[in-house]
Amino acid sequence: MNIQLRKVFLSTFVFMVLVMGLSAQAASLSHPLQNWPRINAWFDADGSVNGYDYRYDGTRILNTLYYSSWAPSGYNYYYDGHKAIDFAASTGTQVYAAAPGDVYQTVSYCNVGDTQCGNGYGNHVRIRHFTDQSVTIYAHLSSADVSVSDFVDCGSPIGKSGNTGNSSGPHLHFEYRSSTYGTRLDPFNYWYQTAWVQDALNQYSWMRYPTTTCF
Amino acid sequence: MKRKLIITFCITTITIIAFVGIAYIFNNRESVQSPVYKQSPPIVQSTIDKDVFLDVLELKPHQQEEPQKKEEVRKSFGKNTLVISSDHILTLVDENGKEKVIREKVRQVTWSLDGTVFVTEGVWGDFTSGLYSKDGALIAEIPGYSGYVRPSPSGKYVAYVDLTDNEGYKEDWFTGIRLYSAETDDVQVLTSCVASCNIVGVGDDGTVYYNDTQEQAGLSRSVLSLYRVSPSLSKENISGDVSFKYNLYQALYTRDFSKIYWNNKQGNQLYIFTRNNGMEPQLEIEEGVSFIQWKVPNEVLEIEHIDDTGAKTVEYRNIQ
Repeated sequence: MNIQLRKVFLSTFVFMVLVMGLSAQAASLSHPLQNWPRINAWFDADGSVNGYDYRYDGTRILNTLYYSSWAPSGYNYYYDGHKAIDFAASTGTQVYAAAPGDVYQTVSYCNVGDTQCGNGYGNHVRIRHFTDQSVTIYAHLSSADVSVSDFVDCGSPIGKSGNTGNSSGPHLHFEYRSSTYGTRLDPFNYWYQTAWVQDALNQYSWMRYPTTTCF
Repeated sequence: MKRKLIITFCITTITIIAFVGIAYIFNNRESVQSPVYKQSPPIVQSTIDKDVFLDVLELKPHQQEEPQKKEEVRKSFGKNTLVISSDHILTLVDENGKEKVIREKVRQVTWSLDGTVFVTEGVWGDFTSGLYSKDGALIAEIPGYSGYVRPSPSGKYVAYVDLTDNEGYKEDWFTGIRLYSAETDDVQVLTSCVASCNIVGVGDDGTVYYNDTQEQAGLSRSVLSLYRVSPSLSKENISGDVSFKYNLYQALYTRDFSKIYWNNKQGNQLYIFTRNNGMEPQLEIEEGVSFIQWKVPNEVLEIEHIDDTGAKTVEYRNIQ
């Protein structure tokens, strides 16, 4: 086999591994809220669509417009360093476990305005999932309604959304990790990176994910 | 050779398309069956809360969310008024209306009990703090990254939680409680934090009062106790059997810390923690309290009551 052929096969292999990697994650996670609310902030995958970063409203992010800062109210966006999905959810909205697991940490002593409380997560629940020991975190809750060592099923109510910790309005911060202190992953499987630009910017296309529901 | 290359290229392309197709179908296999929701997304309304504390001046999170509205919070103390603008600039306005910019990236200002000094706290990601005289002169920059910054009544000390550099959410970035001395310009490490410890206040003797989770294994829920620590005393639990459900964030306290008042705004409750020599610590909870502030620091507490209809009444309680 000559060098050119080797290069072709090698690049094909790398591409396939990449696609497999992107396809394999988070496939079993359900949605943490019963209906599909608006998404306030996407997962920042340190990547872009066709070379550009986009907000949900279709506006291209210019350089680092919202880097490490909060966007004005009513805007939907994603910003550098935000390794989770933010859903708009009024205070008191029921939050559900996205997959079966055991509760390994809860914080329920934070009040609104105490931004550093709970490491910025405010009141939150952390669940370790049985299948692969991956972890989901449900943050900025008004109340955490489960206790450490509780076993929860997919769809079990675990708390109510709120505005505690480093939060600028009521919402649910939904975070997914490979392990307790592992890499933060996109719970929606990096779908927007492999989708067409217009699909990625279309809220209703997003609403099909994740596809599994346990309600 | 060329033909071989073309055939290989075609096979590779077909493989890629097939693989991407399979991956796409795999990813979307249930979305085909799932209904596409068409309802309008809910709109989350924010309101502007203009409440301010006597000793704490804070730009509320929902005001930070709406900088285009140019909302401001302001509080007079003596002849001067401090203003935090919606873009986090702290300005001092004197009795003649003359404005002086004190600091940028300010989220919160806390006055000392005597009103002689105030400390600033930076916005998220900044985490720097300054100690200022009541006229807005910078006395000192608090070293390192800081949170829960509180001055002693006369401004002799500043207690704070030492933070590590934090760009986003981190684990265990509360490294411990520090005591800054304005007289000697040095910092002492007093104790470490178990979780996200909250400083209630610090006395002019350098004793820091703070709440933190209990160091007990097997606790199924977060339970907070009240502690004190000083350069000459190691950490001591002063709440005994009393435990707290919430961080006593922005609590008011008497000069000797014998009484601590905290308003749970989420539940409209007033927590009153009392500790007297020779008596077991006590915690009373009064329902229907929506706001508290000092009318006269250390002497008269202004308590705003709210009833089931939302009607509010104000009580002035002499606490001496």
